[in-house]
Amino acid sequence: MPTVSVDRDALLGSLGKEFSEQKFDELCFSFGLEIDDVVVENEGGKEVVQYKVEVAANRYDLLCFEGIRRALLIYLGKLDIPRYTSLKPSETLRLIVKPTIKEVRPFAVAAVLRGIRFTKPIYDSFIDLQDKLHHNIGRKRSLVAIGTHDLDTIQGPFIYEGRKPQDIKFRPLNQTKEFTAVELMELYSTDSHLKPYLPIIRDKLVYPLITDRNGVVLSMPPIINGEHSKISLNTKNIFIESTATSLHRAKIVLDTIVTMFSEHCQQIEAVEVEYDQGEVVLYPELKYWTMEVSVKDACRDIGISISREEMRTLLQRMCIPSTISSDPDKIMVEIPPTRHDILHAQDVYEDVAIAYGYNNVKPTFPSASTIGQQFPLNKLSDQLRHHVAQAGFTEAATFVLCSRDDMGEKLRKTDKEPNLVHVSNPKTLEFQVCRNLLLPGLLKTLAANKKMPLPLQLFEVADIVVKEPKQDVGARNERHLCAVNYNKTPGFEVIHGLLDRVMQLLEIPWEGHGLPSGSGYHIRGAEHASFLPGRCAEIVARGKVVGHLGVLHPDVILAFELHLPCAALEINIEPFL
Amino acid sequence: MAADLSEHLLHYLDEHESFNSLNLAEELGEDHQRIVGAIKSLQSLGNVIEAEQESGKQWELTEEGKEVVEHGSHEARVFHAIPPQGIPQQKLLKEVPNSKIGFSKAMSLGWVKLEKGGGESMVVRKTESIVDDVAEALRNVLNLQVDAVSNQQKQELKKRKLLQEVVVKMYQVKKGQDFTCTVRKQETELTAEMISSGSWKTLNLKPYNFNALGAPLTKGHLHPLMKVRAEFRQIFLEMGFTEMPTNNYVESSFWNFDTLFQPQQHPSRDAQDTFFVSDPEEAGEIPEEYMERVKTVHSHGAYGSLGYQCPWSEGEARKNVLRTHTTAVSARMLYALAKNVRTPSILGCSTNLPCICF
Repeated sequence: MPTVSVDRDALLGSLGKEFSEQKFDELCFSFGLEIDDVVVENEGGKEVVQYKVEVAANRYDLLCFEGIRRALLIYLGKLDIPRYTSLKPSETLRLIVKPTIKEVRPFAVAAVLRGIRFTKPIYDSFIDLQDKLHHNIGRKRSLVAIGTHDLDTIQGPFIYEGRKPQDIKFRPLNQTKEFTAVELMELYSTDSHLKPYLPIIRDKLVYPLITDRNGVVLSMPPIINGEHSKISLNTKNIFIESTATSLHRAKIVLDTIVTMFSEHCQQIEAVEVEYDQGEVVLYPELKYWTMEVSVKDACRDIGISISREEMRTLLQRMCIPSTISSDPDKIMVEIPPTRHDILHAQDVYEDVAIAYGYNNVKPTFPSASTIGQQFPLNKLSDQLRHHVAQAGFTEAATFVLCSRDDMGEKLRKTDKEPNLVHVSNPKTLEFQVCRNLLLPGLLKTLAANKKMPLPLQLFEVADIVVKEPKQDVGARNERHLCAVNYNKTPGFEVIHGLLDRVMQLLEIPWEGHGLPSGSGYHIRGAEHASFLPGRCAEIVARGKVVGHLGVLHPDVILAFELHLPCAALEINIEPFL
Repeated sequence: MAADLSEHLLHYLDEHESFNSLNLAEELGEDHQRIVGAIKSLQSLGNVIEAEQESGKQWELTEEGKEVVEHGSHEARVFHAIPPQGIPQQKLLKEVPNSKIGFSKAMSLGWVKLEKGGGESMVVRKTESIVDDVAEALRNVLNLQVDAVSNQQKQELKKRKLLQEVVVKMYQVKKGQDFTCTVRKQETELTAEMISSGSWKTLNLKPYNFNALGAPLTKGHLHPLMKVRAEFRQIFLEMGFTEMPTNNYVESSFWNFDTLFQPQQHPSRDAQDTFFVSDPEEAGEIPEEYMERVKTVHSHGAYGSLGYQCPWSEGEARKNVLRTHTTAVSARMLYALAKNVRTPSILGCSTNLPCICF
């Protein structure tokens, strides 16, 4: 969620005298903004309070002070929704896009802000907005980059092309001499601010470049602008260019900049962009489009009941003007170029709800009557959990991700191809694979609780993950029950007793004496790497092996940083559904 | 013996109505502490006696005093150490412990005298025999015959640090409410024999101490997070929801993101915000026709939406991730339900713990 720094006094002052800090807080909350932080700075002896306001990531119109103030004033009904237009002057500037750039960064848009009045705060805000757009919708300049230039220092038409790095030479921003593009790559490789953007074009055959009719370099997007055309507080006319790999996003970026700062200048002027096929497009687009919205549907989806007029008033407050249609249920909303976040009628409904106030919507029960149903595996798991706890074991909840060793070496398992799901970008070694056993998690829990009184009896009923080619994603979960007994003596009989109890609850009879094998359960001695030889058994229920129990091998005990004997049990409970 | 003593005390009380523990100890020739012990055990029987604590003073021997009783006073030892012919003073001082004190005392008592002559001082007896008063006095105190020693003597011995006065807690004891002459032992618990024999009827039970905790029980526990989860499940079930199967942690990006209209360039699909699975890396089966529709909505828009106006990659959708939300399951469920459209009056919910636990 992006945060925008706004000067408190400037903002509250614009909103009106009645806005105390607390009222402002409430206003923000109902509108959908959040004050993340308050920073007090000392600027030239005066105390300046900055609010860090958090805005939704898809609200490009709220990424600067001007946008927030405007939106809030309209929300309060103190300002009319402005209409944004661009003027096509008799002598329109042209930006020519050469085919040489097509493979690298094909799209460009441009516009002019004529007669801008900069003060320091406005200037800062202008720079800041570009940064925010670069970071968010521009995806760190990789999708969109912006360059703003003092129009009075350059002359159109402008050329946007791809040029070989060694053929690019200019004086970049804040430098005193000229550099070739190759040298710049070198120079900025140690600049923490610009270094992240170098890979976007570094290995390309040609680099993007914008020049004016006299060969003055405006910028080498997305890295750096030229020093020649840089804007200052004295700049009166601004040429904005934006290059991109996504035309759609570039248009949004351009629209956002011009609409936000139109209040500080006399006029938004259009610029022609010419592509190689001779097609000429006028920018900024500043498109207004209409959508038909059903009042009934909006009310139903939100859960309120309001009239068509009320809805229009609410939408007006959200910068969405509307007209009535002949159908009494419908209104025609007009989406302005500041609201590129609106994609569907649902987005309009959302704005109705925000203006109505989420807290004013009454919670209700669904009118449809249904009968609840448990997922059978969860029902079984919960039943088992209760009974195992009643038997005196304490439940643990351990991590699903663990290290490869936890599932292999530490358990004395030496499978060359273990059935494990691997994570490709683990944060640390501790989270390399998904567990395919619950046991290591419980052993780690024991190790963290060595100070507790003995015996330590833990259990867990949870999922493990294994690869499964038959599943559409290639893996599946399996619900296991695992229990450990950690004491001065291993307590095989305790764990065995638990197994017997669980089987009794599952109504699986013991095949000990006489009962034909295949209908109940029995345990038989088995060798398993993690257990002490002769002290391990596999559990066979209804003819299939469902798990193991036994005394853990001392190597395993030591590997998990434990030092007392431990008996463990782990079974798959899914066959018992 | 202790029981006897207690009974003895009861009998004494019966005759005398009350007594002071210290005095009684002296009278009976018993160690005071034993009397106190007996009083305490009588107290535990209930209201048999009433005992009030008081402070009093008592004469007691110091360590040194005890030593004197055993070996005799320092001066007496000096005296007895002198052979008939006398003994050089130096030798005396060396051989006899505490001889300095003893010597000066013996001198003042007139038991010995110093004879100087021939270079060496000799100590000789002056009288034939002596009576070791000091030792005797101390012995009297030890045997609780304190009054046999005069006050003056006591003070003197106190000065010599052979005797000391100590503050002693003593008890003033008198008959209690339930006074009886016999000591009856209290039973701690009701037993099976008492019930069958009927002896419980005349039972005198030791009172319980209700001011202490009971015995800790051996018990198992459910995990607090699981308990919370169980509560949520309960609430949803009671409202009529059907629980969805969420037992698959590995999910394709398709179901986890794309079907939920999460754009493919969204930061939450970055390597640092989602766990990608390297093995198995890609999902195999994805419903073809549905995928086409999802692709259209993302890239060009459909069903009333403008879409993201961005190319949509199937390869990106096939990438497996560790599920980031159970809404992915909701997506699968809705798709399955939509295929069997009758009257979908089903409320679906999932209360699985998120699989990415940090």
